[in-house]
Amino acid sequence: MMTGIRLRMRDELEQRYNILRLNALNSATRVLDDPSIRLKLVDNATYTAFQQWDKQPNRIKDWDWPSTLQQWKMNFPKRFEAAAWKNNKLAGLSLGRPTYAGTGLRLDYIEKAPVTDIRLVETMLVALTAYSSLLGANHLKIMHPVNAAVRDYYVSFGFTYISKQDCCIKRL
Amino acid sequence: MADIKQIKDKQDEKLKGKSDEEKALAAARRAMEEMRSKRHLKEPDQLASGKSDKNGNMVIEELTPEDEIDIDEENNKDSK
Repeated sequence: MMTGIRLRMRDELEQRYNILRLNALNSATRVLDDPSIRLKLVDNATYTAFQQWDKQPNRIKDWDWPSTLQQWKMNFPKRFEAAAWKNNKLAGLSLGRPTYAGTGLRLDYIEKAPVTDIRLVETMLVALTAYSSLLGANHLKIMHPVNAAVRDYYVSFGFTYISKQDCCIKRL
Repeated sequence: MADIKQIKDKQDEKLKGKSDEEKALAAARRAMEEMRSKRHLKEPDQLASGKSDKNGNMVIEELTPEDEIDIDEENNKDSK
């Protein structure tokens, strides 16, 4: 149970980093090649739209984003979170946080909508890079690519696969 | 890669004392440029990354000091 002072500190951190998250997502949205894409924080509209994913048979992972996102919102005020919308349809979700000592920024989870034509990785990496610049991180890590095709796709953007940690890393 | 690093160093110098909005926008622009230049593969239709437990649920991975690595050192190890 959080004490009053810890709750207040958490809320202050949450507010401070929420401004940085918004800066990062808005900046990324401005520079993307596709004007039909919007990056937003996760909200109730995201959860509602996510219900459509749950019904799709070709989802690559059966992850419960809403409950995980709520846990992360409580526990990780410095987290990176983003919902990518294309033509007002939820096209992808991602979630990350700073590394142990904060020198890097991890993308712990990313999932592309079962049916969409967005280039999700590019979209999220632009936002992640913008957020990392505000945190002063010097590298990005994409954790646990789900298969070799996905891993190789990250590598094509200059990441290096580190087998020991099952992640792809790039220095900024 | 060296070009991107040079651009970043120049931008970092220019951005000293700038607002967070300006810093974020400069970083986003730089990242977008890099994405365009490295856009060689079609993105997989089914794409995800992240850790699942044995039941397939998302998990909160514990962060450890080993999470902090020397990238160059790790690159060298992996290429051996």
